[in-house]
Amino acid sequence: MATPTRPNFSIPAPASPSNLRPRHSISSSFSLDPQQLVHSLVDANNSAASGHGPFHAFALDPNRSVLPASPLRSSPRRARRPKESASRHPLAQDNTDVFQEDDEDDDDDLEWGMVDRMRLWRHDAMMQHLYDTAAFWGDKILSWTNDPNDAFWLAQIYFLTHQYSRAERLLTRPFPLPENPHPATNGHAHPLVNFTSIAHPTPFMSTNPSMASLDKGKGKQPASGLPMHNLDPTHTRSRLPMGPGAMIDLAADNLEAVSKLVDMSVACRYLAAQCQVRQGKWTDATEMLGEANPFRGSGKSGPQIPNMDGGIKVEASMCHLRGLLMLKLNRAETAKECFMEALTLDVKCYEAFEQLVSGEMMTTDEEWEFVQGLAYAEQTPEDADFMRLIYTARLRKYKHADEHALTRRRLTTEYNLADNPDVLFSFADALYAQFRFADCFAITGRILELVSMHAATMPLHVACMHHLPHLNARLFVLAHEMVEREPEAAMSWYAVGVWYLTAKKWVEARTYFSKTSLMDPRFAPAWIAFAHTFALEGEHDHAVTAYSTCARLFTGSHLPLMFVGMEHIMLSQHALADEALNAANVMCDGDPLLINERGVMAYNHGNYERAVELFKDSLELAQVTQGSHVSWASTYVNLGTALHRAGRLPEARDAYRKVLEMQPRHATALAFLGKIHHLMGNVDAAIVKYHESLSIDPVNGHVVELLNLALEAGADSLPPLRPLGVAGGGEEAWAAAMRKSREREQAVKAFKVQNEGSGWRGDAMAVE
Amino acid sequence: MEVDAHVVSALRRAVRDCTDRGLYFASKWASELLLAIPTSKRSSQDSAGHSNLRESYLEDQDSDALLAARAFADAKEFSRAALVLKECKGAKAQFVRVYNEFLAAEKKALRDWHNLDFRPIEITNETDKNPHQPATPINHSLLEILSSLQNATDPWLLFMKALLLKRTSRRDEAIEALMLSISAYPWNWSAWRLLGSCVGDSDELASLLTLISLPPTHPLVHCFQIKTLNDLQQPQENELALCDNLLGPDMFPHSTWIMSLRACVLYHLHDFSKAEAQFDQIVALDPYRMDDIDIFSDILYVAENRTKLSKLAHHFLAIDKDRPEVCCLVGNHYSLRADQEKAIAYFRRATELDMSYLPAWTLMGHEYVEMKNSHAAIEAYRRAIDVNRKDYRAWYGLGQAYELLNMHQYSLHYYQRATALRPYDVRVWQAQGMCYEEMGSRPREAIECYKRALIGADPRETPINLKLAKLHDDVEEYAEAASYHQRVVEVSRAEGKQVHVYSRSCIYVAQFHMEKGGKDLTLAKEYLERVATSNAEEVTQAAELLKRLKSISEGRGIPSPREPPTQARSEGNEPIVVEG
Repeated sequence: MATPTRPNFSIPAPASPSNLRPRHSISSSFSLDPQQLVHSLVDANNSAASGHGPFHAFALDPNRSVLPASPLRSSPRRARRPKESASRHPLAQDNTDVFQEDDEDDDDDLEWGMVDRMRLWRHDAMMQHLYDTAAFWGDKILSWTNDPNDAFWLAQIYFLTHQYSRAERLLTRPFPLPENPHPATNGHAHPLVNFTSIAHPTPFMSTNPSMASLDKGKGKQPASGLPMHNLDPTHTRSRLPMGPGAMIDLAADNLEAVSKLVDMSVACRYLAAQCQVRQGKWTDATEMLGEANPFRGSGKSGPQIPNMDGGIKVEASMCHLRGLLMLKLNRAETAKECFMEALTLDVKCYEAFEQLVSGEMMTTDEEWEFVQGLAYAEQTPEDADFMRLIYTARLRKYKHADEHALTRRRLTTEYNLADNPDVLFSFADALYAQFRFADCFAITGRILELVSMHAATMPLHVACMHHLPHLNARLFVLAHEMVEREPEAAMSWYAVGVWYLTAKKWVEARTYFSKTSLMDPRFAPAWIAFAHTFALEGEHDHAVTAYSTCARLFTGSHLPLMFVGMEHIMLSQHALADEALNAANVMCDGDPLLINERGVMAYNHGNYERAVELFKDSLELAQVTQGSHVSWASTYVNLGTALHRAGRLPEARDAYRKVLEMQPRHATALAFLGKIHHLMGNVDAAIVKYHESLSIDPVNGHVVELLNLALEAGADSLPPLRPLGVAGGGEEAWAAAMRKSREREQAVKAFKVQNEGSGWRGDAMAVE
Repeated sequence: MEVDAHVVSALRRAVRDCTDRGLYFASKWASELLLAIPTSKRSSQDSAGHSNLRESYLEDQDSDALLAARAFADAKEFSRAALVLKECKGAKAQFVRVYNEFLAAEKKALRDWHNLDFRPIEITNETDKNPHQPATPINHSLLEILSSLQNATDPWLLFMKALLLKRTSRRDEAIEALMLSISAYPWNWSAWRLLGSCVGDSDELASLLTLISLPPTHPLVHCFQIKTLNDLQQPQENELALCDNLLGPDMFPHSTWIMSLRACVLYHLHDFSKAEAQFDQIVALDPYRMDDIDIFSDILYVAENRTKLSKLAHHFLAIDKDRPEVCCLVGNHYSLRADQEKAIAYFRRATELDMSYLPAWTLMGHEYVEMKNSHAAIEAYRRAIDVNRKDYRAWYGLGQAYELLNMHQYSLHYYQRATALRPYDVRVWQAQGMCYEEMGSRPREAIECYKRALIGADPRETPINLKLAKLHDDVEEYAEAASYHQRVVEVSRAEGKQVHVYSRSCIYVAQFHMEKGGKDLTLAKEYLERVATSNAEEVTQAAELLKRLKSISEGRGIPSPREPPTQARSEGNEPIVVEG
């Protein structure tokens, strides 16, 4: 491109185009480059403007195709890059690049041939989602040119039309290379080709040692590692019959002369692997991708090396796909490594990030360290800050509350993303972590107003509706709507399950949660909720099993382990509970709830001082990360009980009072407060509190017993005599007052006697 | 302190302010008091400007919304009233909004409570297990509403805050907020009433009165003091004087409210005839006034004036039978006719009309006790105590009901509560003594209680003396026992009772002097002779004892206690049998 080059290219890459070993420098750091498209669009507009009139006329004319958006519109010359320029795509220098060599020849203006026109049609048809059209013309082109690029594009079209096996065949069949890279139509000089070669590093890297190692890993492709085939002059291009299917036989004939597309290009290999994954051919796909990243350690790949063209490294995409594959093969640990590698290689590969985060693969600290330590600056120098912020916003909110708040503030103010669903989600997530369900619901509602579906938001939205009693009815409606609209989505059935959970119909809820898990085995909330149904129903053993499954599937989350611990506490299996809780604590030491549970265990072991410490820690943490204290009433109760057992009665009393401030009708706290009063010798206050507690929960036998004890104690002492209305005085004054009241009583009697006699008279008077 | 133009204008403004805010009781009170001031003093019109310029400006801004809210609230659409003021900034609008939110929440709580498949929605799981309908409706929004009033400074908002604090059992904070509210706006009677409901006993009241920022002679302070003491059922003569002062020509000479206050004081002082006269006057002045009419009926009930009670019941039933006071009056009427079923029906109706109507709950409990239905009685008394922990009658009733169930520990506790509220009531002390007695093993406490009861009792009564005598005998303090028996004998003789009524006491005294350490043989002889010459059951026993007495006095110191003194003990009313 003669125009000023893109900034990404001006970065002196370790492998400069003029490098002596250019092939080695490029490795897999190419992409399907969006920038290219943009540029070509500009180019097209420019050329259109010069040739056909003003640009806006183009954009507004309905009779036009969407071709301006197609790379094909760029003129051959414009797309050509000077060979020696730094901005030249490295691949272009590779002399193995069949499509680029002899570019100079094409620099002169040439009329477009038939193939070029058809390539244009093909691309435009793709842009307009007329895939059959595109496939039709692409097929014709391929038959004429037998060009790997054209084959790749055809495979791409098949892939887009979900004809995975067909695409795979095309990519894996023996591919006889044209001996003459320049078809009569001069297609290779065509910008499309150029575009393709950059966008898809497809066929041009077979000489790469990394590729060879990949082949070794596969160890099955005898045709591999023959990078020069395409240059072999002995193989004349044979005009092949139309249709890729027919080519196989021919290819068999020319075994010597053919290779496979997957061996010639990383992009083809990636596409083929994608096809195999879609078809569920796990083993084949593993072979195609290799068990581990073959480029690793080659010196030419790694997080420090920025992408050559500003797009996303195919290597990263391959790592991501490998990760998905590992998940399918139930190798979660490997999968996690793959995703991490993908994200390390290219921070832009959001899907790997999404997998790591929403799949709860990493523990809180691990996640934080990893995301903070990614090579943003090296890979995306200009956008490093934003990248880090937007990723950070998505992380779990147990720790680093200040950093999280700052992140969100910066995203809204500096980057003006206040109304972006993902940023809003970060706010909602933070609020949910603080148990502020109503506020959270307001935000999730806003998100769903903006976009009707936001995968990460939906579980939060549904959970809020579960927690807020007045929204239960709306949850019912929402679940119905979702099932009606998207019966295929796991989320819809999850919502149904949650509604049954809200309605306390455990069995039905369980049915729907297991349906959800079947539909999407990586949907963590459904697994947890499934286990919750057992726990809530009192089936603690089943619950332990279910939570354990959950812990195995989502290795990064401490929650399942914590729940396992809680169930063990319920079952009084203290050793097992300790084990689970400690394991959870290793994964996340910033969750107040977990610390509370550990406090309970310390209490169960009789270590009351330690329990007090833990409960206090928990509340302190809750204060930092949680806005409101109300949800922590139980922890205050625990704290009070531990303090009580540790013999610190006044402190215990304060803890219980705190609970009652938050929940005036907390029967347990009332009873305990009464007990503390009782122990401190204030029997009357104790009796009052016991009564209050019993008025809320009348069937609590323990409190009744305590009340009886207190009444017994109260009977031991007569109340002190205290005359009313007079300060001080004591018994003497009391006796005096008592005598006085005696006189009054006598007066009453007299009044009665008098009335009995004169009842009628008095009445008559009143009537008058 | 006199009623001057300042008080008149303050009252007048209070009427308006309270009406604007929907505080009907306070505005009713203020207007009644205003009308009670002689016309000459009321003639001067005043221009009540708002003291706070910013507030008045905001109020003007909100005025349309406020009017709408007023209309909605009058139509009982509280949520709507709250909503229409959502955007308003003024303190008045804020108060009306919060108040209506509160009313809406109360209404909802009541509706949920009446809902048959009631399920308490609470954050704690413990209460979820309990499927019973709670004793009272539970308003779950209190804390939420309260949180919006955290930093209130406006007197009305402070009042609202105090109301919510009171409801969430945070009494001290509530009193604090009320003090602030009252010092900023004294003429909001609702705030005073709320303050009164926070007061636990007369000591607390006394300490509160010193904290009030108004001068101690201010009519409001007096009203508050009298009203609260009435609620505590402990008014003294001092309060009566205060009432008379308030009814003086310089104050509120025509106020039926203060008259009614005075009547209540008289009632609690047990000056029933004067109280009745006062009520007669009130009814004559304002035959449609139904406040406190239940107290009137109580007086007539105590006086057992059936005809007047009946007349009154008919009169007020015709006016409005949906007032709890009237229902209570009718209930009293039936109760006096021993028609417990009907009485209970009317008391229940009163409680249904107003769940916090204390007298009906207590009286219903009384009726159930009459019917020996202890469980229902306990239920009713408990509700009364839930409404107001200061009603000694309810505590006493609870004690009685538990006594019927033979749960003496419980009844003892409730009697103790009752004595704490009303330390001079003989019956309560007596009942306590009985409980200790029944519980066994605690004769000392029982004796103490009876002694206390005796101080306040009629000097001519005997049962307490007999009890004491028996208890002392139980703990082997024969001298004390004998002295109480002797007292019985003396009182009975003074009353001119038949000998057989007190013959056992005579025998006991004689036996004491003969066998258990007493030395007064002449007294013994005198008593025994009296019994021996009477037609009492113990004639033969007395004759035998006389014989022995003779031999003792002759033989000087030949003791012949053939039976240990403990055998002489037996249950209260049975004759003391001494085997010969």
